[in-house]
Amino acid sequence: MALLSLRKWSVKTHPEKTLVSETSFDLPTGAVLGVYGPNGSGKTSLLKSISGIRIEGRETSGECWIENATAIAEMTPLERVKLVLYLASDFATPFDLTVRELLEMGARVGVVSPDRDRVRQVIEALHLGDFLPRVISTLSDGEKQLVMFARGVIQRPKVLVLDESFSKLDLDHLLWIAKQTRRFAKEGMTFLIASHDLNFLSEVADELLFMRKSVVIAKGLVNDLFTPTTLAELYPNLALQVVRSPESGKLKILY
Amino acid sequence: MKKKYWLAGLALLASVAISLFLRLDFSNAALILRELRLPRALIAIGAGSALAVSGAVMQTVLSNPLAEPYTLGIASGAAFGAAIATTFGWKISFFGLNAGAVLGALAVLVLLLKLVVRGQGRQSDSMILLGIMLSLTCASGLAIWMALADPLGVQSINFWLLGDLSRVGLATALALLGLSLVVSGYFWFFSRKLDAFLFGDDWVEGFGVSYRQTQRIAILLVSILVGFCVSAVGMIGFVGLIIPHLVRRHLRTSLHFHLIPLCFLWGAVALTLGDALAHSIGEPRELPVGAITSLVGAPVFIALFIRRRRGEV
Amino acid sequence: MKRVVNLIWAALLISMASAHAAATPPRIVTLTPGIAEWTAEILGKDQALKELVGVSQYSNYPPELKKIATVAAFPQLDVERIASFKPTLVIASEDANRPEQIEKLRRLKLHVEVMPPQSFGGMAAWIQKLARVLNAPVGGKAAAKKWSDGVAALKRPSGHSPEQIFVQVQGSPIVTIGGTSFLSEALQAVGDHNLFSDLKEPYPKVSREAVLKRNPDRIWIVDESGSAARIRDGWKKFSSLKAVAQGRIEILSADDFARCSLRLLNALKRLH
Repeated sequence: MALLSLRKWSVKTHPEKTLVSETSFDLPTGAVLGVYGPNGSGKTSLLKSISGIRIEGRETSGECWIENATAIAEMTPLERVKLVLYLASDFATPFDLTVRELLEMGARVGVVSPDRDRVRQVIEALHLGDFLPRVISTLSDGEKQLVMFARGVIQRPKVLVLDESFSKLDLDHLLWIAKQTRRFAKEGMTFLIASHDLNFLSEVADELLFMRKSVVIAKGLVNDLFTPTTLAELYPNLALQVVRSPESGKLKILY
Repeated sequence: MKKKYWLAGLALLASVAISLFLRLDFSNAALILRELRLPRALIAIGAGSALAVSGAVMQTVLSNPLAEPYTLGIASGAAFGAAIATTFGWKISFFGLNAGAVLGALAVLVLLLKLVVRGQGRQSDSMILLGIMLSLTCASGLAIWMALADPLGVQSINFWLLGDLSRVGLATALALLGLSLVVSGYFWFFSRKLDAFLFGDDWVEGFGVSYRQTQRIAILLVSILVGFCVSAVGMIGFVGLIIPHLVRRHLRTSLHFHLIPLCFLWGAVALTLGDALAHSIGEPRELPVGAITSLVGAPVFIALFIRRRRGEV
Repeated sequence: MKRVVNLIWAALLISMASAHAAATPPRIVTLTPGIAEWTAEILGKDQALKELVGVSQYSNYPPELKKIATVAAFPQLDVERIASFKPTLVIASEDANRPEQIEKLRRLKLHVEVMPPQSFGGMAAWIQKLARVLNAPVGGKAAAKKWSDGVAALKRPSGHSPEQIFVQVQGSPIVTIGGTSFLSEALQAVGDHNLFSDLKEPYPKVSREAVLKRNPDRIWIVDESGSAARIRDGWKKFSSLKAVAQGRIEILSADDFARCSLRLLNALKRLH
C-alpha cells in the first residue's frame, strides 16, 4: 500500500488557468521522489497542494491520499503536519532565536514531551553540534537551509516536502546531504524534493518527476529518465550529454 | 533562569516600595497610603504588565519587532472609542473600565490587518507607518470630538494623550490587575502557539498551529487588555515596545514561555517606577506619566528602528 | 461769483458731514465677558444695551447682555462676522485675544482698542483706561470708585488671622489657581492666602497629596461643569484635612469667580 497516492490530481486558478494538470502517481514509504522542471512549470503548486496548503483563488480536484487520509487541506494544522510538512527554500526571522531552539520547537510539535534521543540523533547525523548555540539570523543561507532541514527531520512527518530546500548548499554539502537524506529515507521517512539541480536529484532521488508547463511529462527511475530522448523532450534547444559520475557512480547530465 | 525571576520579583517589590513610600508625608501616612498610593501602585502594576505583555504578543503575532499598542494606533483607537462611548453615556463600563475602548482598539487592529498585505507587509516598516498614521487619525478624531462634545473639558484630552494614573480608584485598579493576570496567564499557557509565529506567517502552520485561530484570539485578547487599560489610565506609550525588547535581550531568547511572565513583571516595574518618578519630580504638580515614558521611550524606539534598518540592509 | 458759490457748497458739505459723524451712534463690540461687564457698569445698563452690538460668548452679566448677538466664542474669533456688524469700536484683551487676530481686525479697517490683562491690584487703573476708550470719564470714575469701595469693604479687622484657602477649578485632573491669577491676588487683598500662590503659572495641575500636605483651612470648588458635588465628595474621605474636619468645603459659582468684576467682590464679601 503506497504511502502517498495521487489520482487525477490537478490545481487550477479561478479564471481557468491550470497550474498542475491532472496527474496520478504512488509513492511508497521510504521513497525519495525528485520533482524537476523549469521555473513556472508547476513544481511549487504541486508540492504545496499535496501538503494541504490552501492558497486563495486556487482549487484542487482529484484525490490525494497520505496514509489512508484524504482531504488534507481540511485537517487541523496539527493533524496535517503529522502527515506532511512543507519546507520552503528560505526563511527569515526578525527575532533572535538559536538553532537549538528551532530544533526543539520542531521536536515539540504534537507531543507532550520531546523525543530528546531523536533530536540528538539528527544533530549528530547532520553535524550540527557546533551550530546549536548560534543565533539563526547570523547563519549563512546554506547553513539556514541545513538547520531547517534538520528541524523537518526531527519533526518526523510521514512525508517531508522540500521545495528547493538545498538550493544554497555548496557542492560538498550537497553530496553529503544527499547521502544523509537517503539514510533518513531508509529509516522510513518519505521525501518529495523539488530542485533546479538535476545532478543533485540524481544523487538523492530514486524516482524523478519531470514537469513542464504544468504537465508531468515523465516519471520514472533516474536511470530510465536520463536518456537523450527524454532530455530532448525536456530541453529541445540544448545539447545535453549523459555521463556517469566518477565520485558516486550515478548518472549525470553534462551541458 | 530562576535567578531571572528572583531579580524581576525583587525589582517589583522595590518599585512598589518606592512608589508607596517615596516622599511620603509620614504624619498622615495611613490615609495617604490607603486612599492614594495603594490604588496607584496597583494600577501601575496592572497597566504596566498589561502593556508589556500586549506589546510582546503583538510583536510576535504580527512579525514586527516594532509593534506595540502605541505605535500601531491601537491605544489611540481605544481612547477615541472610550471618549465616544462616554459622551453618549453608553453604560458599558465595568469597575470603571470602559468597553467602548475595547471596540476602538479592535477596530484599529482589524483595519490595520486589512490594509497590510499578508506575508511581506508584516515584517516591514510600512506596518509601523500605517500604525502611526492610524494613531494620528484617532488622536485628531479624539481632539475634534472633545472640542465639539466637551468644549469646557478640553483639559481632559491630556488625560487621553499623556496618561494619568491618579484617576482610578481601588476597585478599578484591582479589576485591571486581575484582567492583566488572566490574559497574560492565557498567553503564557499557550506560549508554544505563539512561538510558531516567530518565523513569519508562512511557517506557522508547519508547527502545527492554526494561523487564523491563534491570530484572532491573540488580537481579541490584546484589544480587550489594551482597551481596558487605556480607558483607565489613558495612553501610555513605549512600555509595550521597550520592555519586550529588553526582556528578550536579558533572556537571550524570544520564546514565550519565559518571555511572557518576565514581561509581565518588568512591565509592572517600569510603570511603577515611571509613575513614582512622575509623581515626585513634579511635586506639587502632577506630571503625566505618559510624557515620561515617551521621553525615555521615543529615543530608544528610534535607535531600534535604525538598527533594524541597518540589519536588513 | 463762481468761487463764492463753491465755497458755500464746501462749507455746507463739511458741516453736514461732521453733523452726521456726530450723530452716528457708537457700535461697540467687546471680546471678553469681563470687558462687556465693565462696559455695562461704566456706561450704565441702558446706554450699554444700546451701544453694544456684539459680545463674546458667556457675556452673561448683566443678564440683559444675553440678548446681544454673540460674535466670538473663546478662543476663536470670527473676524468677518465681527466686521459684518460694522462696529465703530472693538475692545479686545491682551491676554485673551491673540495678536494675529487683532491684526486681522485692524486690516479690515476696524478700530481696535486692546485692554491690558486684568490684575486685582491694578483694577482701578484698568477701569479708568476702559472708561477713556469708551469716552465716558464720568461713568469710569464712578465705576472705579465702586471698585475701590468694594475692595476696602473686604478688608478684615486687624484681629483676623489669614486662612489658607485651596481653590479648585477642575476636578480631574486637579487644577488650582497659581500666584499670577487675579483670584490669588484677590485672596491676598482680603487678607487670606492662596494655598498654591508659590506656583507661577495661572492654572497649575497639582496632586492630591500636595493638597493633603499643605492642609488648607478652607476648600473652594469653582467648577462650571456641574460636577462640583462629586469633587467635594472626593475630598470628604480625607478626614485629616482641616477643611474636611471642620466642614469648610464650599461650592462657588463660576460666574462670580471667573472674572475680575464687582460680583467677585460681592461674593468674597459673602464668604467672610
